[in-house]
Amino acid sequence: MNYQFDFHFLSGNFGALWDGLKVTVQLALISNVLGLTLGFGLCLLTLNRWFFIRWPAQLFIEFFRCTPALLQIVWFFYCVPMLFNVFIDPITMGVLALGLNLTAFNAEAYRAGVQAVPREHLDACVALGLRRWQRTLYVILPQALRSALPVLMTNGIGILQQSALVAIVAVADLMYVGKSIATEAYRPLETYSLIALIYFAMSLPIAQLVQWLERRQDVAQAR
Amino acid sequence: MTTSHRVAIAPSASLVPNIADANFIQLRDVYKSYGEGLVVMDCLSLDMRADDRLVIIGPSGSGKSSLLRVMMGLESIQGGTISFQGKPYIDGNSSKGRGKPLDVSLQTQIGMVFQHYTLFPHLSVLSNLILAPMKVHGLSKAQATEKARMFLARLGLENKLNGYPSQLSGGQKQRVAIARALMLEPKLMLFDEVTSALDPEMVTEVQSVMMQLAEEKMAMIIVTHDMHFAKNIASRVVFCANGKVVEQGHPSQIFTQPKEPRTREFLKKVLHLD
Repeated sequence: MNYQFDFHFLSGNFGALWDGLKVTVQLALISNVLGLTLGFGLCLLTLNRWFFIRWPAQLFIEFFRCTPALLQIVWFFYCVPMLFNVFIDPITMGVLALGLNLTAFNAEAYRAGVQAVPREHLDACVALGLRRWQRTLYVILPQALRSALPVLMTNGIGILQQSALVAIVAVADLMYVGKSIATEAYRPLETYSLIALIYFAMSLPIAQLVQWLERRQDVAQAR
Repeated sequence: MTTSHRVAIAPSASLVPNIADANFIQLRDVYKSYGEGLVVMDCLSLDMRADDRLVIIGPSGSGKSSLLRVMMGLESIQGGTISFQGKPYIDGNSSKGRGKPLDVSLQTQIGMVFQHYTLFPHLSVLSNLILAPMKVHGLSKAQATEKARMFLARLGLENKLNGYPSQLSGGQKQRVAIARALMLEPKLMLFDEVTSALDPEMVTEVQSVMMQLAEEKMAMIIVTHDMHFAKNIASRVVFCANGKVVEQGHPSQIFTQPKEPRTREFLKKVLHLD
């Protein structure tokens, strides 16, 4: 291979890349906020004792788990406006698709955490006179959150990577900007390498943090 | 039994129920079964006075723990009635309350300590103690903290205030669990095999706290396999088998001259094992 690397052309595109990065971070952050909050709510629904509440919640989860994320995004972009006659800006649409996808995966993570809370703790809550919502908020959620945290964070990084999929529906995220620059400058190798490096640099610290948390939990459990 | 620091652990004198109240708790024909096969309470009737310390003994599966769990509202009954402080508390004969407590204000006057540690691991000792007083009784954080300090000091655990449950020994955990229940100023305390999961050397520290409560005339129902402790703490021993009360009486009578053959048989077995 006698390819001459040339990164100079990128200097003129820093502004565009920065804008793309901001969109990507925005997509990932808002999706995570949605996923973390709605995910817990959805998890509670799947644990409800009424079949007609449990069943649709489970169906929602299976829908997002059993179809490709790319398809979900495309479906949201093309089908939601047609079906419901609403036109939302592309970023919001992307956030919705990614956020609901994450909601489904996080609900499963939360569920494992909720089910790990010992039954005796629920009895103790009754004995202490705590109401159902107080029990959920002060006793179940904090414990479930703690044990589910590594999986929730891994899912969170996952959604940062998957946010690149919205480039296909012309949301101007990092991936989309990168693709445009690569095509305009005929320099795919440099551009895509740089983009990959940016995604990597954003994800690695979080992945390391997850590992550290898991080690700490193992130590705590061994005690 | 060491009772070196004889300071009151019950929060106030008003807590102690009226001694004259003979109708403190009345169970009438209480029926409870799990599915078809397992009947744990079979037309069980029992009275308790406000100054009683009932110790329930009996073979496993005889409904001892079920009785406590029903009183606490953790499980329902399918027949009979229970009154508490002269008021209807649980009605298993009608669909009202579905066999669970009818009156939340009565339910909150009962405290319970369990066999397994039930301190919330994500909360400090202090937060474990003040959670319910703040959320259920509406105490301010300052009031609740003050109260928690007082209880922990009396149980000799004041230096554990900011510790976490994982940093406590089993005996300390159970003592904090007792303090947590006492924070709500219950009129009745239920103890469900609270020393069964403990290492032998930690049993005494928990039992001495219970003895202290007994001296302060706290009404309690205790389920235990420790016959020696039962003899010491009980004002009345109730022997249950097959979901029925077989025999009850003063501990000295039950342990030395049991009337019923079933009681004799049971005591022979457990005392031999000791």
